[in-house]
Amino acid sequence: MIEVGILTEEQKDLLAGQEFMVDVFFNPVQDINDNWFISVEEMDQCVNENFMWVKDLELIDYEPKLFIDTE
Amino acid sequence: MATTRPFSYNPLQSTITGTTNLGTICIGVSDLDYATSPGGLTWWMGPDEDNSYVVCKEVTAQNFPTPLGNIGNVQFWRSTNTDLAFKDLVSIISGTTQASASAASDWLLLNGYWTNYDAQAFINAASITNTTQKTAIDTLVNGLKADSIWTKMKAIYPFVGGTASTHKFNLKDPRDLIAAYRLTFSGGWTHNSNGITGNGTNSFAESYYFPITINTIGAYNRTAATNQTLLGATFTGVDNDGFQTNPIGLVLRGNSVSPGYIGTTFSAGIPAPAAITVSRTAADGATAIKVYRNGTQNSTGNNSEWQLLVTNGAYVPSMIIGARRQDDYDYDGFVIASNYYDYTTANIAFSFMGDTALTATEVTNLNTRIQAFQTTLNRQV
Repeated sequence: MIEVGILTEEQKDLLAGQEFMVDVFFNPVQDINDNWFISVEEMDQCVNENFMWVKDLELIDYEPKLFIDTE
Repeated sequence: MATTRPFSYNPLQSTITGTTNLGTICIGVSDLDYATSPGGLTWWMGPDEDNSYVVCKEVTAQNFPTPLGNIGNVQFWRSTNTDLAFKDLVSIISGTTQASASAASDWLLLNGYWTNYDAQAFINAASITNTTQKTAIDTLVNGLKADSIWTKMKAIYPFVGGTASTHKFNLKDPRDLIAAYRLTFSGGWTHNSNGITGNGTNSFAESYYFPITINTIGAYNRTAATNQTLLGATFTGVDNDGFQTNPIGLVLRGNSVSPGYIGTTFSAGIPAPAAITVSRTAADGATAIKVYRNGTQNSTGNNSEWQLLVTNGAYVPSMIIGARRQDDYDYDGFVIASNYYDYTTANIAFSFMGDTALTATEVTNLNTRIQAFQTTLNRQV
């Protein structure tokens, strides 16, 4: 099971559009329960001193948001 | 130690092992004994390419002044390795003001000149120092030019160098600018010597290339992509009755079933390894879209919905790699939602987008170049 780091709304706003390493940006997204999260790769690879707190985020199982594919 | 390579005039464009032809300019690419006149040609070493951009043109009269007399069959020019110096050099050669270094390179190719500018500019931008990687890039560029594919591409991402800072550059225009279709990576990518690998949850790369004019897309995926998108962009609107229309766009996606999508072929997912090329070779019709896997045509697709999109001049979100971005619009044309779907876990080692369709022969040649590039980098699967 894939795990992801859960974010509060405020934490999501802090991370959106910010670099966590050179040339790579955080991408907070929502899971099926509308929890905001970032991936464990972003947590592990983060070297931006302003956001080192992401390494301590609580992990939850990733449950992708479902969408109706209208193809 | 100087970096040089041999050149000759090859009027018959004969195939000589260890060389590449660009028109009637023959470029040595292997450690041959050029003093023994391979191919029956007389070879001349080019200028030192370290920190330089070099231009070469054949001299058909074979009377260019040399220390050995007026017997030269090629002529060389060299500038320092700045875009400005290269642009100015080509302005002098062409007798016309070149708007940019990229335009200057295009002029050279169109007029039968060889240059190391494109490969070197990318190598410089991405700070590539590994000799094997530099050689692979140089060979790839020369090959794509020789096959007349180079000018049909707007963006080529060779994913070489092993980091986001090297993978982001567009080989066709390696300026660190959005306008150059330089990638912006978001989410949890893994970057290494095998290219880029998505995490399947939130990773994508924005190209800023709007697919309204794209006629060719493709990727080399080292691992399979099932229920995932390698690259794509779509939009939906709302019809006059308030119902959402089917997505229309350009997507290379496993399991796609919509005729509006290009990736309709791989109902069981995009297999690996595969160099997938999708090209639109006609304006419309049931066989207008051709899908190739490893250089061989796999299927055809209907182009009617894509053609409708082009005809309407609709706005389409820019192409992204590793997922599909879909913008939803209301009937007034306002964006009501922008969503990302089908994040991939595939390992992608090459991707490209072009505004001109490729012929079947060009797709075969492109596949050969991509496979050779991967082999040189020891990551062909």
